[in-house]
Amino acid sequence: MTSRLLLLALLGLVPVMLMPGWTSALIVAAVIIIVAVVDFFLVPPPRLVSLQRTPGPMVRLGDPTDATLTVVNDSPRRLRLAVRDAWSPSAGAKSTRSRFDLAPGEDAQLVTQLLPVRRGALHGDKVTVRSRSILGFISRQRSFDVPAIVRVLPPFISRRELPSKTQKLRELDGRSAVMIRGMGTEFDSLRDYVDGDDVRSIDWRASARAQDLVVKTWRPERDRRVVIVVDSSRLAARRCGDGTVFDAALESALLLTALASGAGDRVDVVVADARIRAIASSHRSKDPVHDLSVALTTVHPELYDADWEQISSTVLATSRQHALVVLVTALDEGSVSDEILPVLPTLLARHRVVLASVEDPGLRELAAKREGTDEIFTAAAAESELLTSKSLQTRLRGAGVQSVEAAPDDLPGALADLYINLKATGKL
Amino acid sequence: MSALIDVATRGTRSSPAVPLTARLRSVGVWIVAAAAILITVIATMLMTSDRGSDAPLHYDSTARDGTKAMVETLRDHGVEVTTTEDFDTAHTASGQSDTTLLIPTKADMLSLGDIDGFRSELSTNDNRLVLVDPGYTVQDFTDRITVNDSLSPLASPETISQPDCTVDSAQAAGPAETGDAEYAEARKGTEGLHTCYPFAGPGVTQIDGGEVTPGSAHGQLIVDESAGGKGDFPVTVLGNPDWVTNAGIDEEGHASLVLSQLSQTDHLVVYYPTETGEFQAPPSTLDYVPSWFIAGALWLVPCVFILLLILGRRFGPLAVERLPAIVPAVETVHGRAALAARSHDRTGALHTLRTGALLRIAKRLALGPEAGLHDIIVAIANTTGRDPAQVESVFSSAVPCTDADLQHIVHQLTLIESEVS
Repeated sequence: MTSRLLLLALLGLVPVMLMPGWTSALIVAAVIIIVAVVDFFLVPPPRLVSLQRTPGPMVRLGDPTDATLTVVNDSPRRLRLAVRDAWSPSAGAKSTRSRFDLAPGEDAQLVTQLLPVRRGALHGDKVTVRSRSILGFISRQRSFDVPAIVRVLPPFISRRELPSKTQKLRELDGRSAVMIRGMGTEFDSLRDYVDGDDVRSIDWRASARAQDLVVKTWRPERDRRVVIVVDSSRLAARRCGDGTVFDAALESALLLTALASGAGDRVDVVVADARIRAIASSHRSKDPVHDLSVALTTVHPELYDADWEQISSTVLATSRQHALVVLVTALDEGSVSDEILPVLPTLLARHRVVLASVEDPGLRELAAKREGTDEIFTAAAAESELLTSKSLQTRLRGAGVQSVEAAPDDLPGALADLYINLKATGKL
Repeated sequence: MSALIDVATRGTRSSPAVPLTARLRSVGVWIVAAAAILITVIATMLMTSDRGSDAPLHYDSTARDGTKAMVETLRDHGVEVTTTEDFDTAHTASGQSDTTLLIPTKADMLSLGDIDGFRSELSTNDNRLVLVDPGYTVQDFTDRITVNDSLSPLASPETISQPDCTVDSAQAAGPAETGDAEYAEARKGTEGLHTCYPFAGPGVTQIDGGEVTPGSAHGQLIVDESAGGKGDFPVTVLGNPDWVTNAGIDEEGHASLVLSQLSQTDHLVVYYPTETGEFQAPPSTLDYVPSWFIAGALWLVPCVFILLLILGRRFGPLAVERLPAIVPAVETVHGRAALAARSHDRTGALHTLRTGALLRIAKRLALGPEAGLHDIIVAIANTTGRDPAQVESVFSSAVPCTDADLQHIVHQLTLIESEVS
């Protein structure tokens, strides 16, 4: 039924009011019903149309993309269509409806603009086709599954910190030996002596050959291994700030990957909860950050506990040589003392382990509010959470694990600083 | 990379062939709904047509005061019974030969014209008329019978009346229950009129002053065989309605009496007068509205229906969103706080807050991990210039007995901590 049928019915008012009575009303109603039935059989069935969806390029969260729906009239009849290109609400489709008038064999394209509001693989929903005849009193509609997926990568907001961190890392290059000379540095090159250089870094043999003072320079070690383990268990599903803890963990992993692969280290990322969800490596990858983003796109936290024994064996299998293992997880008393601490010795035997966790900014706010009795009890509960995580950090330090805890927005930067610090002191 | 994904996720319309079972399932709902509606309608129709009327003395009524038993018994005995509520049908049927017309009740609803119609039809074929407790309406049918209004008001008739007459069927039937009304001949000494079952008992006397002269023949059953009076057809009056009801027909001699009176002819017409509704309703405001306006207004009803169908039709199903799991984080904190508040664990709460504050202050005052509680308190007192005893009380010894105590100590604690920084 369409608005034209309503108009026809309203037109029926004229004869009905001119000739009041059951007979005239029945005759007018019968005419309208006959017209509607005839029109129903005149309408080309919607299944005559062929549909194809082509999703647009994958984007980072916050950038617009699009999806193209191609409507082809394969039938020998003319099709007058209204088409709804439905997408799940988080895909942020702006306008999904349009009308087509297709001659036999003709095709048309409907480009739906999308502005996704959520990371992940966003599915196209059904395509609904509504068909009508030239009379247009009756329309027939049908919905079809036309599978399509738009991939939305993690936003990687923290990439704005990347230039400053890279700059910091570069400052380590070419420093004179004494400042940083240690286990993690290697010989870089020889250059002419300038005033202010440490006399102890003068290479006398080279100076004798060159008849001029020459100093050795050093740079941080390259080709180290970094393994980032991102916990996607139930503890990562916690809401924290604008997103979840997992989002902040992904940001940290992306920034560290960008920084470390830029500094010449090899980065492997393992996302795991009760099972291994995703593995990505910067090895032989032209754009490690992009590849990692793609690998992480479809992963969402699940309500399981993490299996740390499996994770530790995966880490050991990933890197046989000494590596920096970064565990991005939660400082939860149960999981740390029962699950992580027992597997630490095997990891520490071969690797250096660092633990990064997201601190809930809501906790500090709650701990600071102390007006009424209820607020005092809430503050005490929040304070007890903070104390627990602090004591866990102390325990981890005792076990030889450095830890960093920060608010979701600050964690990527804090983890990058920790990495630079370790690099500078040659502890990788 | 992008080309790969492009190919992998490009989708075309999936096969339009819906499995037969799925199609049947979606169609099944409508079939079941249509069947349910059909069954309901049929059942309603059957029940309404089967139930019959439950009006008193109605020929279809199976209630205690119905007369279906009598009608069915007569049918079983070979009498061709025509039952109707329609005047025209009754009027026509009563004109057949060898017919008895029975009006079991509500004779007073008939107009004089209707009664004249019946009388002319009955007299044409010398058909019989049987009335059940007609009241004063009996005078419209015949001028030979009337209600016995000469009965003494002090009379208390016995509950069982004896025939006390020469009518064969009454004598054969024997005694019958006494009703409320008695009929009598209109003029004393009318010929060919038999009265049976007169009231008998203490105080039953006829007094003067009524229409009926004392000493007239009277009784609850009056059989006028003479075909005299206004019409020339036999009239029988059954004075007690209980004699013909489903409940009463099997008492005493009722069945014999009634059936013998009604089975004297081959045909019996039972006419149950109903209100014809011909009375004129007072004119309502609707009568002053022009008919074209009413027609237009009524026509808008289907228009609105079409509009609702148009507006209510959804353009495809709702789009589905597969959301990831998200756990509200600080919920556990609130839950733990509520538990502590319910158990009034003030000491525990205060202890936690003190520990947190001491750790922060120790860090700020650059005290090492080896510093004990006393060292920190002394350092606080030195920094803030407060009395060490007061600081010690706030940070260690004071015990909160009430909520007010707790608030006071916590406020002091927060104040001192802010002073240190």
